[in-house]
Amino acid sequence: RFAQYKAKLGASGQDERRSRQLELQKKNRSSVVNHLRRLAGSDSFAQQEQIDDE
Amino acid sequence: IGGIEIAHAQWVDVIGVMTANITNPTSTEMMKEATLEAIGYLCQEIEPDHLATQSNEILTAIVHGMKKEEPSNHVKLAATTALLNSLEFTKANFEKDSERHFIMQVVCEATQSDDTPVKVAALQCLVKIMSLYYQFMEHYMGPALFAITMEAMKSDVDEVALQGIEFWSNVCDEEVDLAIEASEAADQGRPPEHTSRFYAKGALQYLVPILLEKLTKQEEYDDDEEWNPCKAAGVCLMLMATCCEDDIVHHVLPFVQEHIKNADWRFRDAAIMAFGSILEGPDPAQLRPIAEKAVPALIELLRDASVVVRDTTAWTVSRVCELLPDAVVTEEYLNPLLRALVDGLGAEPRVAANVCWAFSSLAEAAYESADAASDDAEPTTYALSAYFEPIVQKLLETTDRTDGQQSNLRSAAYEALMEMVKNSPKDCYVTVQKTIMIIMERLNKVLSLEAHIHSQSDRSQYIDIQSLLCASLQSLLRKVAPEDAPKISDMVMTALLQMFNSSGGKSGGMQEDALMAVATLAEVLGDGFLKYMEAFKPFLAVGLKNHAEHQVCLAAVGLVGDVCRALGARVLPFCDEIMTLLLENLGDEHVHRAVKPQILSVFGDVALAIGPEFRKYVDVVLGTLQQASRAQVDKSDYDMVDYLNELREGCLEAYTGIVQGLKGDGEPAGADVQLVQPHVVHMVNFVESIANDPDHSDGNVAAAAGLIGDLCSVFSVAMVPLVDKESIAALLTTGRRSKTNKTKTLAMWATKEIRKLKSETAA
Repeated sequence: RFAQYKAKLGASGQDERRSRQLELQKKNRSSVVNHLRRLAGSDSFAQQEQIDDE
Repeated sequence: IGGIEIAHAQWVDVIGVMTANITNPTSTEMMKEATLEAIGYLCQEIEPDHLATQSNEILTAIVHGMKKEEPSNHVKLAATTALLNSLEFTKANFEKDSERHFIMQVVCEATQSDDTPVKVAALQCLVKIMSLYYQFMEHYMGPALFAITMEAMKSDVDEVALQGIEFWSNVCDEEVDLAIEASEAADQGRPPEHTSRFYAKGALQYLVPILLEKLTKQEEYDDDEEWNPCKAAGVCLMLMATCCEDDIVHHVLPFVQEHIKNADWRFRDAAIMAFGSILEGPDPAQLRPIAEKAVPALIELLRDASVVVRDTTAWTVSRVCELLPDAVVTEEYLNPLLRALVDGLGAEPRVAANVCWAFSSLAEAAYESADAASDDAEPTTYALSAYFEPIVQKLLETTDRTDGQQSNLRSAAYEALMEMVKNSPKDCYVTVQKTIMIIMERLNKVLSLEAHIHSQSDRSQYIDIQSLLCASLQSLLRKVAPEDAPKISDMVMTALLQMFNSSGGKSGGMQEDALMAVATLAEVLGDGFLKYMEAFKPFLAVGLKNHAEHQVCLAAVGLVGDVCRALGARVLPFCDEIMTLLLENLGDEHVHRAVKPQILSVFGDVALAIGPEFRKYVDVVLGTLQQASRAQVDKSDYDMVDYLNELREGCLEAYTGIVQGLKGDGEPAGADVQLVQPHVVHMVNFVESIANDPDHSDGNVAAAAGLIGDLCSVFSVAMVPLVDKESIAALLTTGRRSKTNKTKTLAMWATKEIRKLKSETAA
């Protein structure tokens, strides 16, 4: 409870930097792979394509 | 001794002997007290599973000592404490109505003891019972628990009041979790396993006045380390707001309006605290007009005569900036608010630290609401542009304050600076460039001071500052234009290498931030980073070998991935050494488990970078992946379930990297990809095992769908019999219905690849 008193909402510090870095690395890795899959920049692919869920 | 022996199924009669000591009418007070204390310690020490079979005996002894007929308060206290320690393994007893009624009756009676320690221990039992056995409390809430805890909250004895407040804080925690469970169940179209009884909502009207009254009981000279009912009430009110949402507003608002300008600082402070506490939970649309009305008063109160009031106001402003940014990023209020905040940076450390948080939130909010051409593009300008330079200037001054150690002010100011830089639009770039030079000057100055630092506390401050400077450098480098990066990279890398060499470079925290700064530099330089590799390589190896501080090792592993992406095929000369270290780490049981999934993912990065040259590592890496992909964990441990998902995602990313790397970018696919062929059946089996695991994560689904698509595009129609299976179809359906765009895209792509192959086969 002590840490919740006047707690700062946005996380920060080294922990936050760590998780941001990991997230960024994941994103960069996936953008390299999606480029090779010819899916680069196709976030809207999901909305454009219609595949029936039988 | 009992703690050790019971766990090994030895000294089987010890519990029986102790129970007899307590129930024997001829036992002395001291004998009973000592025995109950021993039971309490055993319950605390031993894994609940080892005592579950003897819970009846233990409970009988404890309850005997707690009964109101027991004349000794010493015995009662020892018994109540023992009960507190035994609650975890008495689940079976709580599930039986008659036994639960009896336990609850004894505990409730003990809360009425005249002896404060007994009363407090009994209330602690109620707090824990509420968390562990919420679902069984309906029968006792109305007739007993509500009145007992309300009375406790009102008590003038701090320890008693604290337990009363804690009880309701726990109720809120439980009910927030139950609300999440209910909404997840609704999303999946099933009823939730446990349901909320909405005790907090029902009790709001009675609880809020007590909490507000407690808020006015501040200590004159607040000790940061001290916990008291006033602070507990602030936290409880915040939890109540999260739990009860809109319902809390009309219970709190009249108090805020009545006292925000009260002549007594205690009431002014309580009013602002109450307002700040309810900002998260209720609908922002309902709160926004209220916050807008409050902003002028808050600006005024940032300059209040009382430091407590200024502190609470700065905290509240930081919450408004974070939660309701639209209320402050307006033409009318932004300018006066920023002026008051910049002045606030010169106030007492605790006030200034809260002001720093306000700047962090404001920067993010202003950046998010700026107009940008696309989601990823940097906006040209934003609401803070005109003030950006003076704010950065003042934050830099704040980081240099001699009292920066107090209230974490120095870190808060650097964090705010980083957020300002991260969330800066194009028209603030000149200030970003100037700031790089200032941070570099500071870094060089700090490095030159190293020889003059002797005391332990100076050394730890010195290391903290180096860490913060490296972290600032990360956010600044990320904003540097690609054409400007080579102009500053020599200067930056020289300082970072010097830092790794310094004695401060032996500190894990600092090494980690320095490694992350190098990673960012590699990312912005691309293959221009090559010229630093020879000089940097020894430090990368030191990081990879740092098994004692796993976060450093993790940063080094991640950095390998960044270097691979930056250098591409030019990383090849360094690969043998790096791959050896990565494989050693993977096989080393002393390396923290959190590092291992990352190592697997980085195998994929290496393969993507060096393409066909990865062939020399294929056998050993695929063998390792086969082993890792068979890992099993204890499913009752949530942390291990998460870990398994990370490990699986690491395997999937590695497989994808290897397949894509060996296949290459051109047509036809590189011949070396055939090296993977003997492992394809295992890969598909692995995906099926993920599909059949109800605990798989969304990230697993995305990566698994990606791998299926990759395998289809390489091995073509030969894949059809392997992937045309119900479990894989179900996994892809889950993926297509995911809330994450990335997962959706990959699942649709894989589905299309399979369909394409199936129709080719049919034709």
